Amino acid sequence: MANFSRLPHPWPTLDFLIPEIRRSLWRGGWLNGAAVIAVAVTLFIFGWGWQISHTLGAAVAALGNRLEITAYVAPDLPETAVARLKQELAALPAVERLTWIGRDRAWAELQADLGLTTQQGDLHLFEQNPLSDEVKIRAKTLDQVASLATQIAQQQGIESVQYLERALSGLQRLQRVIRTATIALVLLLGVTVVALVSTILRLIILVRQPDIEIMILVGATQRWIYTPFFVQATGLGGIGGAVAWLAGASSSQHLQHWLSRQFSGGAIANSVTLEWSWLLGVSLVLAGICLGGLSTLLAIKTAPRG
Amino acid sequence: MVTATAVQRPSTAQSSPDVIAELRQVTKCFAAHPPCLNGVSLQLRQGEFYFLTGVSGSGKSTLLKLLSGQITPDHGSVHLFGQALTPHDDRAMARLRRRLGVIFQDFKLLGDRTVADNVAFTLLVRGTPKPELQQRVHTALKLVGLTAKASAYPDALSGGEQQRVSIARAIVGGPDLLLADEPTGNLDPQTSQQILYLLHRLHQHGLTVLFTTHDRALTQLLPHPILRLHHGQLQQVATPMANP
Repeated sequence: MANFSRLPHPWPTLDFLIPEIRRSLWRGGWLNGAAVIAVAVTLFIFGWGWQISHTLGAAVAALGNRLEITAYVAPDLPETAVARLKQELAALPAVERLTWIGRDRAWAELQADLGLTTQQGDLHLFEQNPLSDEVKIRAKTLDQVASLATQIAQQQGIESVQYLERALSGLQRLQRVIRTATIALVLLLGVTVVALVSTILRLIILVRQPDIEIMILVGATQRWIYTPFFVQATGLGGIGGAVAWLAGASSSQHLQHWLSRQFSGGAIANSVTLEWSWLLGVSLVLAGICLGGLSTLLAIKTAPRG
Repeated sequence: MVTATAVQRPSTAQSSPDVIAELRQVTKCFAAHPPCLNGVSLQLRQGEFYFLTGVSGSGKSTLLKLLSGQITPDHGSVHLFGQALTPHDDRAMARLRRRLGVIFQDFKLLGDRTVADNVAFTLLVRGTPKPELQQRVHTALKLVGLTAKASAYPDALSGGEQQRVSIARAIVGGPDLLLADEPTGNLDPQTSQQILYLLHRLHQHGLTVLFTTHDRALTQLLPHPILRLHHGQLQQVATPMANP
């Protein structure tokens, strides 16, 4: 008998791969749809979680850009000490802009704001200007606000420091919670999806066991036997990712449109967007492919062998 | 010449070059099926045709599964073409299996493929180029007399025809050894003889055949050595003098 085809080809040829994938898809029937939907739902939730977290981050950043730290200088600080303090504050690496407001200007502005003069109202009770010099400082980034405030407070000559700490930290905490919840939910759903898709694949492998048994007996390698399943699962995962992106992009557009009608204008509203980017779409497709790949590996590991 | 050493003494020595399959002191038991192979040694020589007989459940299929690497022995070792079987080495096993052809009592044809596709499947999973694949499928179907049924599906064939498709699938890859596991078990006596003679013709073209059957009458039709599994032991029965 002739001796040929005895060295296993490393990778399946397309002549083999395409009909085998078609056969597996046919055998899988509606289970393929179930796999796509499971991946799509998971990635849709992931996409929205990521997008909301991103949007909140943008909102926090927008708010943070308007957050100024106000530092009050100790009264009776000598001129030399004031000059040194100005230099030291300006030299802090996180400082983007610094505005020094002298106590006389602050006093005049306060009186103007209140619409009072020393002759007309209670302010004449003060024999002297009761205010001290104040410094308005803006940090370069939002993350630096809290630490910069601490650094400023530690400077000699600074009496007190104020900034909207609660509002900022509240928003940051909300962003963290959403991000953590998204990751936890996606991990949970991801594990569920991998379990579900791998079970579907195991069923398909079980249905195709006669084919696999023959493949083994005629000398097919494991790579030849299981590559079609791998391609099938990663393909379904990729389609699931694309479906998630399409659904997410469509729903986000509608939501964005509705929100813009409800809250027209507003600096923060203008600075954030709910729309899903194509980059998120690519990420979701890749994530779907990874979920499909993981499912195949699990299915192959636990599938019955001929 | 039919050797008397098909049933072999316990050996750890190097096999002679014409030994293509060997069991060395193999023991294999299944908890659910008590009769097991117990210290079986066997050498199959190139170009020979062996009958393997024994009652149902005597371990004939187990012995064939050991030779094809589908199962591993509890004790002892299995050698194919001079190499010990290493079930964990996927590529090595695939390489060895490409030198084997296996046919079954229940044919194991794939019902959703035509006759030609069933036969071609062996070559397809080996990455054989299409022109060569088509040529070899045609030749194999011609050898078993089924070229006219190439486009038919297995369901449309008789038992004998299905077994001939199974044989075509087993030989299309050009094996050195054909393991036939009760290939006539589901066939009527006349068709069984046709299948036997078909395998005999392939043997005359140089194929080594191990043919298991529980039908003793069938073994009397051809002058080939007969091995018998009895109570887990392998015995050699005298070679019949019949001629095909």
